[in-house]
Amino acid sequence: MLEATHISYKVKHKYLLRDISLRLHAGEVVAILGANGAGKSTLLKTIAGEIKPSEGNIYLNKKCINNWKSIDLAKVRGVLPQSVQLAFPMPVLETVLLGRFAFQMQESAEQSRRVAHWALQEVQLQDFKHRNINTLSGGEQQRVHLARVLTQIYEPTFSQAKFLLLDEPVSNLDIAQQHNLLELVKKLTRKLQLGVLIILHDMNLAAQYADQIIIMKHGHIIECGTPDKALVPETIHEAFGVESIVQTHPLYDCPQVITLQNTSNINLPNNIY
Amino acid sequence: MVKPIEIASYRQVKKTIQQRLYTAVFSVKGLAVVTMLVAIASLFQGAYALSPKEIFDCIMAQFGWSEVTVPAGVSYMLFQLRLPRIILGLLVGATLASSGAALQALFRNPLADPGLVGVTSGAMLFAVFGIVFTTHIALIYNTLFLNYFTLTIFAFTGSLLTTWLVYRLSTFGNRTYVATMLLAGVAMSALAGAITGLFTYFSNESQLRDITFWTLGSLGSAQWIFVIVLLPICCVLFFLIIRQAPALNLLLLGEQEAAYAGVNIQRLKKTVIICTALGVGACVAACGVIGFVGLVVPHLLRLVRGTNYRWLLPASALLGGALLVVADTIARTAIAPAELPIGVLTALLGSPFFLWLLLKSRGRMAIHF
Repeated sequence: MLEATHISYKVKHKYLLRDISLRLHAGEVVAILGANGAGKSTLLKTIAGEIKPSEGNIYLNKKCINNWKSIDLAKVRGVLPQSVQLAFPMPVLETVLLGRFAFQMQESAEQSRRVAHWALQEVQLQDFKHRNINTLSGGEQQRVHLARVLTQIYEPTFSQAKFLLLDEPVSNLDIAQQHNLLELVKKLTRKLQLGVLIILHDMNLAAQYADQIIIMKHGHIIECGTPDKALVPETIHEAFGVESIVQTHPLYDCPQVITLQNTSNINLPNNIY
Repeated sequence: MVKPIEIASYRQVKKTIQQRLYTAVFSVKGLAVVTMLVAIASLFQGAYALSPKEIFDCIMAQFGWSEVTVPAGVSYMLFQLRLPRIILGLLVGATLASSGAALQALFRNPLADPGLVGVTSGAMLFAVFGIVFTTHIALIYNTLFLNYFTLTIFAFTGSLLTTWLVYRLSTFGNRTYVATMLLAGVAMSALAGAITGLFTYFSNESQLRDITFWTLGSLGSAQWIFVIVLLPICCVLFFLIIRQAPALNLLLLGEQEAAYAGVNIQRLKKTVIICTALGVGACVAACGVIGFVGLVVPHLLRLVRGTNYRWLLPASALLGGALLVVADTIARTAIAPAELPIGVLTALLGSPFFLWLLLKSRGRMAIHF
């Protein structure tokens, strides 16, 4: 379990994060929503161990994150950013193998290679392994990096819970690839019992794929809970400053958000909301 | 079971053979063999061409295995002039090329070369200072002071001092900022260049000649003492850098990604910067500024077989060594008994080849930032 207890982070008396507590269980997808500058990425970086919180503590599998060595931390939590640009182009398989850095002392090159093959299979890119990563589409590249992060945390036994932190992983992708990637992440979450924290911009994607949703504003968590509970017009207005209609998705069992233009004198039809 | 070879078109066969040859030659073992052959071939060449028999006789006589008498001049030339020079060439080329490769990864910049962190410019500044002012100092302390080692020690001090300054300038709060370091390096180089220019202004004609020769580099001053000092330094530093190969690979993804994957970035930066500064500093001190090798050799290899640093670092070292020995051989034979500056030759040999490779693989060499 990944747990943050009352963490705050301030730069020169300005709080970027204030009193945030959250729990991330294994086998669960938690989405973070919020306007630009709400502190989503800062929160993710803090949880990843990159930024030290000014107050409060983060516990990874019951051990304070400050007491983890960076190499051990890498074996337990993987971070996937919005996009990764390689300084020099590389073949797909080699890129995925880069993720195995933390394990290289304790396993043979052959074993690492097998893990990389497994990860590529999981993201359905096994046929692309010898292609140069530059020749792949944005969605495929992102899947390669997902495979790399999976390779980073893979252990044959998965004796302890592993975590994935994804920072707007679908922002650069077209809609089909967004669904594709998030579906993959959700499937892997269940299969490998990962704890996944994911920053998203699209409320409807969050509603469809997340088990829990955290909504942030000005470094606070203003709402936290299941999609049904978190995505209500009042909260959406508070977080994003837009009016919205929330209805049940016609096919899936989740809410669907329709955002409206910023006009207050709009006449809502009576049958909705 | 042996697979039957399909009868393919001539072009396909040619392509397959070409690919196999590429893979064989550009493996670490293949390059080691090539470098070895180049070094041995270089032994025969020079202002006075030695025949295989003469070399054989020399070796036999030197170790007392045969009674053949060889002219003292030949033996001296082989063991005191040519051999240390070739070994020095190998060492310097290897250090420059592998340092260049490591720095390109560290700065995530294809234009990075060992001179970037101020090593070369600092060495140049101090060396020129040495050339111009030792004459004055020598007048005071008598002539003992004026020999090769003065210049070497001057240059080494200079290179370390500038690198340390550049490093300090770009490190604050226990973090080194690579972009700042790049800029600080450029600024320091400009400053050192300007002061060098000022010193040059005060120099007389023979000093000017020395300065020019030094800035273009030469292995002409090679002596066993240089080899003995450089060999352990370069070997230890190379070993330290090659141990960072997996971490350097990860750095291709960016500093943050590498840190997330478990690399201790701060330690990595420190190791690479210190190792390259010491290594390149020592090389520059021994034989002047030899450009181009550190920049181009890693790129050349990247074009051939990609950017895996586990392979790229040793391969760069080997090819760098070979290239420098070839250049030096031409330098001392082309207009014998006079010598060409080696820096001119490395660029003259390397750049057309590099351009040709670049043209050939324009599509694949897509480097973006």
